[in-house]
Amino acid sequence: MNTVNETIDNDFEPAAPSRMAAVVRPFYWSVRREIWEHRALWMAPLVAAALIVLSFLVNALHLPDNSRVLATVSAEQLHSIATGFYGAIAAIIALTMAVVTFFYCLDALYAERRDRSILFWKSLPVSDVTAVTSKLFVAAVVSPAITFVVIVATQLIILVLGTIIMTAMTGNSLALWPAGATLELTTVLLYSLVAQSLWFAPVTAWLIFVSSWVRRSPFMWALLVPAAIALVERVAFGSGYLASMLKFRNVQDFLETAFAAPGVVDTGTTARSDGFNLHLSVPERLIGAADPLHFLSSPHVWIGLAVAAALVVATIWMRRYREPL
Amino acid sequence: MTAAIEARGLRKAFGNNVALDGVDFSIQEGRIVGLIGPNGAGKTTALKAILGLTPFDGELQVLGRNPHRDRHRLMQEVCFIADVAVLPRWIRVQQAIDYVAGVHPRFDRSKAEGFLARTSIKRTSRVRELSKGMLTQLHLSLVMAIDARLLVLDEPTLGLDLLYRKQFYDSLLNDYFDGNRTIVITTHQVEEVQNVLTDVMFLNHGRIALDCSMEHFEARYAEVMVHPEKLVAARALRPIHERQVFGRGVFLFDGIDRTQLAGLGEVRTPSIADLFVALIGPSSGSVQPSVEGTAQQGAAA
Repeated sequence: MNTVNETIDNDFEPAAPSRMAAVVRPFYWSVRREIWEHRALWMAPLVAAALIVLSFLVNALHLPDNSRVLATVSAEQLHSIATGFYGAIAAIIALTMAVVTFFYCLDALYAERRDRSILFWKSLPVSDVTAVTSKLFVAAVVSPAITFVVIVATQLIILVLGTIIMTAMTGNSLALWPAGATLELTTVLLYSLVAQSLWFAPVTAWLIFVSSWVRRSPFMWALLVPAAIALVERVAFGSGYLASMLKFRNVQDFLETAFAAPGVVDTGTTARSDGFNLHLSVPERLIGAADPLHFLSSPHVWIGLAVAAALVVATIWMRRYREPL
Repeated sequence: MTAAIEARGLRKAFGNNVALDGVDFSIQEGRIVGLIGPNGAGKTTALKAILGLTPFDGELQVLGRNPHRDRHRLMQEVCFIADVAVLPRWIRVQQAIDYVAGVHPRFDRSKAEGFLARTSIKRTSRVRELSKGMLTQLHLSLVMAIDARLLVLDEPTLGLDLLYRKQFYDSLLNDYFDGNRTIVITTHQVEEVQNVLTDVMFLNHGRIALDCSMEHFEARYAEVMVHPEKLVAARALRPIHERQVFGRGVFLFDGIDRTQLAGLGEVRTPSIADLFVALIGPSSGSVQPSVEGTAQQGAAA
């Protein structure tokens, strides 16, 4: 046995630099394989972006009245409308991506067991740690990164198209170039995506854990278990502590933790005089309210990350012990 | 010689169902071992344990490692094809090559491309578009391009046509096997591996029913088509199995000198399939009219 061990060590424990590569390469290729398999991760936001650009064009060309109204408003108002529209673009694409990522997570370690391809993946020298963390990386890093790139690209396309249309109609194009606001908007967008990824890390990790654990209907289990926990707590202890912990991970609370200003999402009273300014002031208010320090000092963020870490460890264990369905 | 696989008291139970009942075996490096057994005998469980796919009780060392704990390190030196349907259906042929080349330090891309060039598989096809035979060809092309010390094949030729089966075992011996590698094969197509194997192992009800080299197998077991007038003499030598082929008795003997048997009738080496039936079959040891195995027997002899 000793001789076998020695030859293995000599042959397969490479020097330090390539040991780094031995960790990074399988991880890199595992991430690429996720993107090959789950094409919706980049196709869905592109389709959403294409629809936004298309409807913008149809609206601008078929309803020139809107454009003429825009030509008459003040530069300040125009800035506000443009920012609101950029915010709406970001919201639509981010929402699309959230849905796609939700289903990606539920599928991550479930599909490979269902179609037995786990046997192929496990026949290669890729550890369970790499397999699980690469999937988490796709959900928590790659997906927000794609969201960011697609949103910024869509905003730029709209900016260019809007400028061309405005120039053609009115001769006044400068008003559509609130360059400072766009940069601020992009910074806030980046901050929101990073913060959102951290805030929802326990949800992401929970979904991936469910996908590694259940034998069928991951969607049902993902929702049923938290509901059951809350119910049991209510009935058995008469308390709502866990339930409120679970309920706390929602968009409203995220926004209020990441953007330390009360009522940033209180859009109910915003003017709705035309189709453009539906969420008119939200991005503008968010720009001023972004508060990374408040966010990072919130215990909820760190509790969430700890829960996510525990779930990831459990998922790695599941990947090691679970067999094809 | 060192052992590629060493098992001591290997045991695995699913609830009350004991799949492996504390088996001991040792597979030396450079051997081609056939693991033969009826469905539910524990073959798959044994392979899964060897490949680190399932936890187990007892001791098991594969290339000096605990397979379940060290699976991903072990897989640098071990290849396996679990069954034909495990390649992910969405992957493209080119992506499969790129991925294996990316994660496997001992994968030889040009070798895999060479194997694939002999098939009609297109690089841009998705796995779901390939026929069953092409699927196996693709998987084998990937696996045989990996410079592994241990290759495990679970029913490798399932779903392949006759031509490709022959080609598969030829290229396994000529292109892949170099005398240092160890190969473990499970199959129900026993006839086609008989000439490939160096060792054979029978598994039944989670226990090992036979574990011997092919040389030993040939020396130990003999099959005699007994002359009708020698039946009584033949039975006196206590055959382990007796069956009727075209109205004549075919007796299987264990450890009886061949010169002694020559007087009873025509002596030859039994096929693995016939020995398998004799040792494990439902009425092993008693006379039974043979239906299966008769046709192959002529070919094997």
